[in-house]
Amino acid sequence: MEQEFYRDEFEQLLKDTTDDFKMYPSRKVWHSIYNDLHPDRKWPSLAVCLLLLTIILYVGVTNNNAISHQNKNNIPAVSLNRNDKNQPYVETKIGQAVKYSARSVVIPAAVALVDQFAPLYLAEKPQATKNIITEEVNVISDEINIAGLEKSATSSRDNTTSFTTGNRTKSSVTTAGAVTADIKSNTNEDGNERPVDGTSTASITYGTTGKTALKQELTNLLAGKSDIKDTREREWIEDFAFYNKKNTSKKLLRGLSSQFYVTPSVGYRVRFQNRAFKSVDNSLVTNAASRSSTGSALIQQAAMNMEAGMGVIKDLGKNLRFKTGLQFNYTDYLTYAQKLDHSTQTSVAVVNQGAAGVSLEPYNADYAHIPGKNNSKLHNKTIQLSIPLGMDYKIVSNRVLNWYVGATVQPTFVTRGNSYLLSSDNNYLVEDQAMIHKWNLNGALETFVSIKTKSGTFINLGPQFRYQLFSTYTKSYLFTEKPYNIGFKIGFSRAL
Amino acid sequence: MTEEQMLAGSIKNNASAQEELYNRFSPRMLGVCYRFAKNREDAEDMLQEGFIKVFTQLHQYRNEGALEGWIRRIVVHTCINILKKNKKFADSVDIIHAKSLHIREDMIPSIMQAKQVVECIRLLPLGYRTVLNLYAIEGFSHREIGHLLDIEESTSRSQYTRAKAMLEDILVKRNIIQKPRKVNYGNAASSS
Repeated sequence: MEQEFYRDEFEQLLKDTTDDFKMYPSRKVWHSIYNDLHPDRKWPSLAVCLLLLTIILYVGVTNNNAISHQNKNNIPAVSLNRNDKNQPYVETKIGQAVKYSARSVVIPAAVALVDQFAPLYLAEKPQATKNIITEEVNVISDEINIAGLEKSATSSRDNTTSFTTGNRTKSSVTTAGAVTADIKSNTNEDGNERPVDGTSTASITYGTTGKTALKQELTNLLAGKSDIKDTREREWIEDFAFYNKKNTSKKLLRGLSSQFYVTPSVGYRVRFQNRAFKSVDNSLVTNAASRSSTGSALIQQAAMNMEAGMGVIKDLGKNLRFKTGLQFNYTDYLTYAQKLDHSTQTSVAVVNQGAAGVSLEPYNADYAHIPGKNNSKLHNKTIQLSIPLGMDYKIVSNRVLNWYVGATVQPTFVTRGNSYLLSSDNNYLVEDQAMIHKWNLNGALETFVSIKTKSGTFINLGPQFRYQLFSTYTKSYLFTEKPYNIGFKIGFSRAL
Repeated sequence: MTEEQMLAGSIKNNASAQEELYNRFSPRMLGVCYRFAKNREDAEDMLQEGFIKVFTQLHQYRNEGALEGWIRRIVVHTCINILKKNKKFADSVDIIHAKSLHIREDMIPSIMQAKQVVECIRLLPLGYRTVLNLYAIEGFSHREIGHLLDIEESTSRSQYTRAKAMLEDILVKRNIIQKPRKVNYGNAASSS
């Protein structure tokens, strides 16, 4: 480092003074450094991560059962009494119980606005500012809530500013929520008290869509304050607000990446009889030709599947990130069957919804499930659109390579599919797309390495396991069938 | 643990030696980061990245000069790299020119000595603050600053002059220094 020969007293003073300045970092800084320097000691974290993923999948499966058995009549009605805006609490009825909660909740919109004007407030009210600035916190960049402003403002004797909030509720709870901002300036530039009629007061009321109006009113009000006559002073305030204004768009994009991927896979299914299943007496089958065999096993085989998607990833910390997006799934497995020369009448045993028992529904079958002279491969395929929601955890990283484990749950809409239902006598396969669940839920586990390229793009490669948590078919069908896939994910991601 | 033991252990990736080194120097280095950063959280991020570089490059330390100075230089460069990467600095430098600024005494928060000065420095806009930190405190030349921040040497000089005048005004009004001067940041000539 080249040293300048000349340093005057001012530089020396600054250097001497600031050299003594120390701050003590939080322990998490050392833990992060330690994890970065010793990536091989992360197995406890990995174990916790895997446990977490297991719990997520378990909760997904058990919730399905719980929901299906829940009696809707037992769900307590929840209602909010928010008509009386003068009431200092929100009344919530849950079944027979009534819950009261405080109405004075900080409004996100109001916080944002106050934050926006925080530099102005700082410039205008130094006495109040003392209460906000702590030793190691930059007041301008930190969020200030309304309660804090109220407390601070009332402590200022010479120059009074009050932000009062009447009827404050979360905007998500009420559409009639109102914010009132009163700004009173009782002193002039010299600190002397002004006449009462010189007080400027503004009351702005807005609904959920009135943030812009409030901002405009506050801006006008502050611009029209009679005690800011000095042009330079105003410029300084404007500058101060400008330089310290939060860059919301950059903040939102920070830690955000886009990703694209494709996963070729091999797919098959888990298949078992559901609780309502009972074997059907062959004698019930009206078509005598269909009574010939019983219980022959289906001949089925795995097939190629594929998923492709795009999404966004948001960093939640050094090692954890959230991901979501839109995904296209193609699932398939094969059933070997014999194409019949002509359609044959048969039946499928279905569970009667709303009534007890199992009944036989007549169907026409084009395929016999036992291969014969006209062998066919039937594709039990579905085409799905899903929204994966999940987490990635970074196990190991260095400058070029990162190793992740991840899990997602994927609410899924089945756009179309082929279903080949087994007839009640186990001899035929019949088609009925109405038996397919339109909505389903997939769960996926994956691990992959992320390779950083010179351009800053990451190439992601790794195996994936995906499992459909609910049956492909509705509860009317006596079999439960859940496809699964084992594939290799190839993708790339890049910071936005 | 002596400095030699600490150094040797850290080079061998010994966790306890590394922690000892970190504990010894991190408070002062966080103070350095804090002067550059927007807030404490950003400062801790800078410190973390800086110390990772320190530990990964520690084998390059030749025992020439104080270890603290060597660490400090890496940390400062890390701070500058992070500021440049976030593009905050470039934005600030571009728009800082030709503004007539004035500090009112009651705008300056009241805090105590070393921290008081640091907080006054942190009141400066980012462009001013960075140049002042590098020149006045870290001892970089304007040519080096220009190279580091991708700006002209003359820009560094003018930024520094304005920053210095602005800071002096704050310090005088806070009674930290006794040096009354006329405030005219907009037309300040280059110095140093």
